[in-house]
Order: sequence, then structure tokens, then C-alpha cells
Amino acid sequence: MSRKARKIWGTVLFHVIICLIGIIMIYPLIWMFFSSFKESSKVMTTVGQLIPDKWDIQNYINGWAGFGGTTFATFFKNSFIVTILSVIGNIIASAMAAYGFTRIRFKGRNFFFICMIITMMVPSQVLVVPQYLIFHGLGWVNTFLPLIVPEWGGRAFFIFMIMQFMAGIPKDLDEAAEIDGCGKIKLFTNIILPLIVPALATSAIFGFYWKWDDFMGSLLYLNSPDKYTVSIALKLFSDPTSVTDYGAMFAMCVLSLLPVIILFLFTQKYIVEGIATQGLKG
Amino acid sequence: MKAQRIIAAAMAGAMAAGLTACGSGSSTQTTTTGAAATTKAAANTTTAAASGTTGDNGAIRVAWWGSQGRNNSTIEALDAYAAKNNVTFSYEYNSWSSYFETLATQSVGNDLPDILQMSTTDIINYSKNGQVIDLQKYVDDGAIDISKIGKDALSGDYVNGALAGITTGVNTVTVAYNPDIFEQAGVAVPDDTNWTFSEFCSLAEEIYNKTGIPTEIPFITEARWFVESLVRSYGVDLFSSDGNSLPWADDSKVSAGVAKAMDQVYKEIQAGVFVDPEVMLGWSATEDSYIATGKSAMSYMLSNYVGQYSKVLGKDLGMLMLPKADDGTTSGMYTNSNMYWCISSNCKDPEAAAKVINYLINDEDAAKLILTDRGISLNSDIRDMLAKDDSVSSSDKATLEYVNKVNSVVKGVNPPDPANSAEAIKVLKDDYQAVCYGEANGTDCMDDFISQAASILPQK
Amino acid sequence: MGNRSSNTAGNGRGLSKNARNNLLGYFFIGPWLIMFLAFTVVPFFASLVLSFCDYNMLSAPTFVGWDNYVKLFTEDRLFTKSLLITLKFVFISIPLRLIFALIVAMILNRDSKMVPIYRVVYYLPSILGGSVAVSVLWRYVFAKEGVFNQFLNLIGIPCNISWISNKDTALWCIILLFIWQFGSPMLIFLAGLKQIPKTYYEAASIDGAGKVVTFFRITLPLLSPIFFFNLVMQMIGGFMVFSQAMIITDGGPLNNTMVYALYLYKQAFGYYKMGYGCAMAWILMIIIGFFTLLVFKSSSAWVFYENQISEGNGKKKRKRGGKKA
Repeated sequence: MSRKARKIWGTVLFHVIICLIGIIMIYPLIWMFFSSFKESSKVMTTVGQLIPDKWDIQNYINGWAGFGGTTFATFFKNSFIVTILSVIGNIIASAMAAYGFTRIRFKGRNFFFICMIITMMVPSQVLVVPQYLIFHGLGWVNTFLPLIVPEWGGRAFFIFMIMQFMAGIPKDLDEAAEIDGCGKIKLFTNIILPLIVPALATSAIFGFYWKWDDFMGSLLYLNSPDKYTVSIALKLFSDPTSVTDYGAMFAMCVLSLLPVIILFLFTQKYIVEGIATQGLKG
Repeated sequence: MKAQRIIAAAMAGAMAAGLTACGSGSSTQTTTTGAAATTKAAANTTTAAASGTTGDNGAIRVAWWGSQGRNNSTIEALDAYAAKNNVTFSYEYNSWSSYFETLATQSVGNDLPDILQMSTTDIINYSKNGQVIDLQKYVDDGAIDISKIGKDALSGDYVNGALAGITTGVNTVTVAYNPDIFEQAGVAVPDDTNWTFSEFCSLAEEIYNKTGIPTEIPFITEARWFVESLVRSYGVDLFSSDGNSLPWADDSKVSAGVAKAMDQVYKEIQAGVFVDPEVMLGWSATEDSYIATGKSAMSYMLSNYVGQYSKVLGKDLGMLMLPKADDGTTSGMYTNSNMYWCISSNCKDPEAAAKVINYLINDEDAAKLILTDRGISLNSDIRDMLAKDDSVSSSDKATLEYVNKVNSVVKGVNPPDPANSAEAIKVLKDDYQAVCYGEANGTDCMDDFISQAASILPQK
Repeated sequence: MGNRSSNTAGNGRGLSKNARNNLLGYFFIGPWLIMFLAFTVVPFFASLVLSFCDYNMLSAPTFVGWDNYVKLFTEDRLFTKSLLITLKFVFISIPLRLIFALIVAMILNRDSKMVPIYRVVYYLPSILGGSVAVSVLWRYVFAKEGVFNQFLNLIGIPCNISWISNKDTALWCIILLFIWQFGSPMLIFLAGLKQIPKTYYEAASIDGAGKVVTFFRITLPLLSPIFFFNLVMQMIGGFMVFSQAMIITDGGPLNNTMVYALYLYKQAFGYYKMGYGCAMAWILMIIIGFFTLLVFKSSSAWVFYENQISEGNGKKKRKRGGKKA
């Protein structure tokens, strides 16, 4: 009995502590959520007060109206197009490259691996001008292409990450499959891919959020407001020389976080319910 | 297997790409330059196509930074113009923090928008490097009408003799004060025509001693405005007209005077008369500041901010001219262009663009929409109209009145900041903050600024 | 645990096998390679060329030789300062962020109805990124009359410094913000933990191993490739920290939070010195490269790969080290 009681108390304590720390963790989000329902002029004067005196959805109406007739419906649509198209390509290419780097011994593998790692070490700020010239030369400026197409090569971060996950898969598996007459490609699609679902799901979450939040790329390549993404539009509310409509800005911030949160909720089970445990008894 | 063959073909394609890769990898230097050249060439050939996609059928591309309010009012004003004048616009509005990054990158591809909103710090770079055109021609041929502005007032628009942009409106510096706190302390509003920095400090002390209410440190985040007013009270400009030096660098009287004022600032901080610099640097929004929440008596600020602070305070702040240095000989006041309208060098129809600028600065209907958002208009008719207009808030009217008052004291508008000045101004800001934090004294600050500026400003 | 030697693959099967592998290899890394060659290689070397130029972006670059580099090391006080600040930032925040991420990942790696919700909650700070809400609240919490000081006073520690704008503590506020956003390494740890076969734990518990022993004998070794990845990526990310410093303090007060990437950005875009910024970028790259190489070199001592013995991987490692050294 006492052991059981201790276990229950332990569980309760666990949940209480996790909840308490959790509230501290997401307090800014909660705060932003409640602030988005405050009267706009009160947002900054009542920072310490969480619950609004009067619940008001005016901020959402003002914010959604956007700028000069371009509403947030346009911005969200653009963000979804850019994000979804780039994430899909990104994950496929990353998984392929990771497989190539870990499982196939080809000439130049080490060289390109080092190249890949090195490119992560250069601050992106100094690459934007030459990159702009390339996209400009291709006539891609003010289209979504510069934001999407490069992603179809995968990201070094994901490639390297998936490589580390593949490193945890015994090589015996490959050999067994090859002896069974399974080619490298089939091995990749039928055996390795299912085993790295957690890594792919993680990449999907990160890839989605990074693209969704990407500001620099969208900013440079999209000129006309009807092509702006949400991440650009959110910055258009504030200006140091005039009054910022914080209420509208926070309202749209809250909306912009929803897709990321929803995606996370639906994807996380693939991270934690890895299929990895089956067939791994190497 | 069939699949294998298809894959083999695909792989061959990938390999071919890979081989070209090896080629470019091994001879990087030549290939890079070669590739860069091709890209440049390609950029030139596709410029027309690219512009075609951005501005449909010769639409005029207009770029500015701003908030939701400015975006909406500018679009409304320009749409009204488009409806009457058979032109189309494409708008490229951005946030302040990233606007110039975008412009600089676009300039690399000769892809700048046609009409640009430009800041006083950046215009020099664009004009000097030929990215914006000389507007003199369009003033001369009447496309831009300056009859209501006056040639003197345009003095702030010239860069090396070229009319680089047209001022959207001016602003100036002011000591904003809270009349209620003055009343509470029982002090009279000082005569600001000839007061000195020491008098400003004693006034702050008096208010503090009587009410316990402090005054904000003069321009802790923009030391340049503070120092400029002191330097100018000796009758010299902050930067020389060629932009290559500080014309007062060898005049020990000036630097000693500024250093003394800075030491006074530190003394008042220590005494609690001025707000703790740590507190001031912790503010991010208007709503945080003491002047907007009634917790400080006076604050140095730019005149175009007064309306915004008054709105948060819920009461109009008073405006005084800046005090001069103790042994200064004249008023240190000046007016600045708030920002400019410029025409980029890759604009295909500058005449049409010039007419748009003319509309934005001279048209009463446009002014009714834009109001004082881009500074106090230089056009005297528009100023008179706004002074009577009901949609202009009382604090904006007060600002208008104040700018008129300053204009009667100073002649012309400050020229745009010289090249590399942004970096020199940053040095001054850091040094001044070091004084406020007690890390350095006024003399250290001025010595360092003078020696750093000498190496930062262009030596030609 | 997969320690069986497997050197039968490859060597003996002649040229066609190698050629096949080459084709397959380039097929798999093809998409990456094409995009890399198309959009990264040229800008990458262009930035190197530009680092030897005076380039303001508004006019053509002019070659100035080593001037930018000489100036960085001889005249620029802020360069050295920002570098030291960044090193301090990396060495304090990265270990803490990783440890925190690992601990939370282990805690949240259990089965309970509430745990999925908790995972969302602990990941959320990371998706707030550099938003205005974070900057407002951080300032609000760490201001002179902020929540943090009120809390300290409540528990009997009198304190009235403004953490965010005090010259000694401002950097710590940014470090704290960086650690607070530990979601991404946590998620990766979580995925890594889930990949460890349960059979190992079952075997350990049959052997009567305690929790601590299991952690050090099973969890840590099997998680080491993931830990290695997180360490490398977080370190690279830490050296390039930018937005946190920009939104909270913008480098102030007295430049005490002027991290390297922020200073680089200001030089390149604020002062129109792209050439100078490129020189800074390449110096940063060499520094990051050095530390990354250290981690890679040390990895053979502490990173355990399931297929470590397999000849392919061992060779790859040796080569990797050899080429760089």
C-alpha cells in the first residue's frame, strides 16, 4: 500500500512541477493571447495585468484588414504555399542526401560532406547579395521561387540530423537486405525510411516553422504586398516613429502561431511513437 | 528490371551535374568571377523582364517604410492620384528595420523601385553612388513645384550640389515638458529663447527638490541630437559641409563646452535629478517612458514624437526649444528633413515620378490624408490648411506651431548627414552612454569621438 | 549491439560495384548537390572575394587587398569585444541549453495522457522566436521594477538593478532567453530517445541495473550520435546568435551585448560596408570551423555508433579528420 501511495504522490508531484514550470515557459504566449483581446491603447500600459478588463475582438478585425486593402487572408495563403511546397521538397531531399552520405560509399563523399558542414558556418547576411543576383538573373525576383526551389535540395541541418539517426540503424540490416536481393533504392524506401520517421517528423516541424517564420528571404524576394507572407506582414505593424497598433499586431501574431502549434500537435506522435523499436533488434 | 533502367538514367543525369560540380569546385577563383560576370550580364538582360513582373504595364513602383497607419494613408492618397491621372502604382511598403537592407540588395540588381522614401542618414550613400537622380531638372521644368516651399527650405535636400530628394516634411528637436508637474512644483515655464544647459539643469533640480519627480536624460539613445544642439550653439555645424570632418574638432572651447554639459548630466544622474540610465535604456515602447506616464517633468525628444507621447499621457506636452551650451553664442536649434522622396536612377519615366512627388508634397487632398505623418510640410499653404483642419489633433497643431517658431529662429534645413556618419554617430552614442554609466567623463567622450570621427569620416 | 564486424561489403567485388556506388551516391545526394552548386557555391566564394574589397552595395566593389582584415585586427575595438562576448555567450549558454534540453526530454519521454500537452508547452517558447511579445515581456520581467526583482524582494533579497540594461547583467538576460528557447534540441533528443530499442532497457532491468547505471551505460552511449549532432549544431548556431540580442538590447548597454553576428550585420547593412562584413564572416567561419573540428576530432572518443566497427564509417572518419588537419 505505502509503495502504491508513494507512486501516486510521485505522479501528482511530477504533474504539479511540470505544470508550474510549463506556465512560466509559455507565459509570454498566454500574455500575448490575452493582450490581443485588450483595447489596443491599453496593451502596453497594462503589461502587468493579464486578463483584459473587457474582451474585445476589434484587434482581430483591425489586424485582419491588413494594409491598403491587402488582407491577412492573402498573407496566410502565400505563407502556406511557400511553406508547404518547400517543406515537402526539403524533407525528401534531406532524407535522400542523408542516406547517400551514410550508406553509400562513393567518390567525393567526404569532400561534399565537409562542404555541407562548412556552408553552415557562414553567416547568411553576407550571402544575400550574391544570392539575390543569381535569382535576379533567373528572373525569379517577386515570385515564390527563390523561397521554394533552394529548399528542394534539403537543408544541411536536416541532412546532418537524419544522418545521425541513420547511424543508429545497424548496418547488418543493409547487408541482410542486399543478400535478399534488395537494391539500395528499395532498401532506402522500404527499410530505412520507416525507421527514421521520428527524424523526418522532427524535420517537418522545424522545416515548417523555420520557413513560416523566415523573414529575410521573403523580405528580399517579394516586393509586392499581394505576395507578402505572414512573417513580413507582422513586421508592418510597428514603426519606431509612429504609434504601433500592438493589439492588432498581437492578434495577428496569435493567428500566425496557430498553424505551427497545430502541426506540432499532429506530428509529435510520429516523433515519440517511433517505429524504430520494431526490427531493430540487431 | 525496368525500374532500374529508369533509375540508372536519372542517376546519369545526376552524375553529369555532379561532374560539372567538380569542375567548378576545383577552380573556384576563376569560375566564381566568371559566374559572377555571367550573373551580372544576365541581370542586365533580364532587368526589363523582372521589372515587368513587379510593376505591371509600367506601373510606378513606390517604396516606403512605416506603420499600418502610414501604409493605409499613403495608399489611399496614391490611389486617388492614380484614378485621376491614368497611371498605376505598385506599392512596396516595408518595416523600418529592414527597409534599407532590401533597398541595398535591390540596387545590386538595378532593381530599385521608382520612387523611394529615404532617410537623412542613408540618402548620401544613394546620391553619391548615383542610385538616385538629381531632381533639379524637374524642379526647373515645373514638374515639382517649389513656389510654396522656397529655395531656402530646400537647403536640406542637396548632396554635393545635386538635389537628391525632396523633403517630405521637417522635424526638429524639443524639450517636452509636462505642464501639470511644472504647476505642481510651482515653477514657471522658462523663456526658451536664450536659456543655457545649466539653467535647464537647475530647473530640473528645482522640480526634483519640490516634487521628487525627475527629468529624463537628454537623448540617451540618440546622443547626436543632444551634442548637435550644443555644438551649434557655438555657431558651427556638427559636420563640415563637405562631410569630411568635424569643423569644430580643433576648437577646444566647443569640445570643452560639450564635455562640461555631459559631466553635468552625470552629476544630475548621481543626484537622482535625472532618471537612472539603466531604467531609460530598459524602455522599449512609448508607453514605458516616464514622460508618457507622468513620471518625469521634462524630456528631450524629436518634435514629431510629441504627439505620440501626448496621446499616451492623455494630455498635451509643452514644447520648449533646446538650451544652448553655457558659453554658447547663439541658439543651437535646427530643423531636419524628416525624410525624403527620391527617384531612383533606374526609373524609366522620371517625369511621371516627379509629378507624383509633387502631388505628395503639394496637394491639399493628399496632405489631408497623410497629415503630419512624414513631418511638418514645408509648403506654407498646407501648413496653414493643417493648422485649421479639424482632423489634425491638438498636439499635432502644437507641433506645427512649434516648428513655425523654430523656423523663425533658424535659417534653412540641415543638410543630409555625410557619408559614414552613421558609424561616427554610433561612436558618439556609445561614448555618451559610457558617461551616463559613469564609465568615462565628458572629456574622454569628446576626445574619443573626435579622434574616431577623424578616421571614420571619408578622407578626401 | 551491432558490434559484429562487417567488412565483407565492398572491396572484393570489382570496379563495377564501385561505379554503381558512385552513381547511386550522386543520385541520392543529387538534389542537394544541384541546389548547393546553383545557389550556395557562388555566393559563398563571392563573399570571400568581397572580403578583399571595399564594397558598399550601391556601387561596384573595389579591390583593397588585406585592408579589411588588417583593420579588423588593428583598429576595430568593437570587433575584439564582440568576439569575446560571443565566445562567452557560446561557452555559457550552449552547455546549459543542451543539458536543460536533455533533462526535459528525458522527463517528457514517458507515457502519460498529459505528456503530449507538456511537450507542446515546452516546445512553444522556441516558436515565439524573435517576436515582439518576447521582447516586451523580457524587458518587463527584467526591468528595475520588474517581476524578477519583485520576486527577489519577496523572498528577502533586496535588489533594484535593471537586469536588462545593467552593463554586467544584460548579456545574462540574453543567455537566459536563448536557454529558454531550448525546444529544438529537446525535440531532437526526444526523437533520439525514442529510437533506442526498448530491448536494451529490458535487458538492463533483468540484469538488475539501476536508473543511474542504465542512463550512463545505455541511454548516453546510444544517444551520443544525437548529442554530438546537437552539440555541433547548437555551437554553430550559438556563434551566429543574432535575433535574441537584436530584439532585446540591440547590442547595448555600452556594447556589452554586441554579439558578433549583430555587429557584422550593422557593419554590412547599417554602415554600407559589405566587404568588411564579409571579412568578419570569414573570420567567424574559421573560428567556428576550429571548434567544430575539435568536436569532430574528439567524437571518436565519446560518440558511439551502432555500426561503428563497420569499415565504411571508420574510414570516413579518418578521412574527415585527415583532410582538415
